[in-house]
Amino acid sequence: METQNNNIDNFLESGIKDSLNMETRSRFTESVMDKIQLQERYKREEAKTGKFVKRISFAVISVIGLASVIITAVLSGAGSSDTVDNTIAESYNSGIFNLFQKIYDFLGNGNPLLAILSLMGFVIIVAAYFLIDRKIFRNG
Amino acid sequence: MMTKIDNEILSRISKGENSLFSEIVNEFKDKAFSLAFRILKNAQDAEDSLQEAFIRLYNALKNNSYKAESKFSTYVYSIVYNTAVEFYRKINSKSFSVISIDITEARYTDGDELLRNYQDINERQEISEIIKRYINNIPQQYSVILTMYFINELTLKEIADMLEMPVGTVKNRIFRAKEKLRELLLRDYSAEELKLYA
Repeated sequence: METQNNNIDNFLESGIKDSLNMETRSRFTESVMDKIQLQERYKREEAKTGKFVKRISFAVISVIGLASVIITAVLSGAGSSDTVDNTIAESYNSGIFNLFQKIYDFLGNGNPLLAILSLMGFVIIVAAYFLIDRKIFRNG
Repeated sequence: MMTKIDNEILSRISKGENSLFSEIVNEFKDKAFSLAFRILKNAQDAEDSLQEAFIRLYNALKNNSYKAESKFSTYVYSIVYNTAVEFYRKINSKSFSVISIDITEARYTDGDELLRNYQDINERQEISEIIKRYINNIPQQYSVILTMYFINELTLKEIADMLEMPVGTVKNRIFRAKEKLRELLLRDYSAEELKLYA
């Protein structure tokens, strides 16, 4: 009796399995792989664009930063000059002169430890930027 | 469950051998489709949802999200299940739950409509047609669990974890679905006859 029940049970289970089993269309795998390839291509393009945008942003920020430093130096140099310059060109010249004078003082005659630390800091920032950039690019 | 997919393949995919992913798709697509279909009840929606599930799986492997704490097949089917449920919500604008929607017995206890017009077909075919109709007519709360158990070959514990319900409930639903089918068939066929086809 128990064997009979088991047989029926197995029969029912096999019937249930047959009824539940379904198949995808014939080109299903190809379709999934095409989508994945497309996604990969899109990611690569996006990473390239991202990298380009980041470089442009970096360049623009650098230019703005540098320009700010120069303008600040020019204006402060012009203000602190002993002689009163009335023309913009003279003011600019004296500003540039003051800027280089300050850099020279900082690197040559100022605190050498501070100068070395500043240079190292600058190098570390640049290296970190390129490292992070490369990592993001590779992962992207 | 025996599967051709091993850690070596998974590791190679995560390292960039994308084409190997097709082996995973080939291995799981039909069984996963059976599950998605039971949730969505529409072949096209089920295929769309399954494609999305495989892309999610691919991204998870690339990001090393699979940690081998569970069986890989369980991981695959949980992604397939969750994606199909999301699709269901999107399509039907209502939530899908194998727990919250309770089953009114009347929806499937009466199997008379499943037992008609089979005079011209041989009996074995007739029985398999009855089973097919029965499976297609039982509520998803049963058919999803039956698919996970019989087709995806998940354990009761794995199903319970995936559906966030007690193991006892899973066991009970499988038992009730089988018993109901047995009752249905025994209305028109004797145990002896069924035994003949077994």
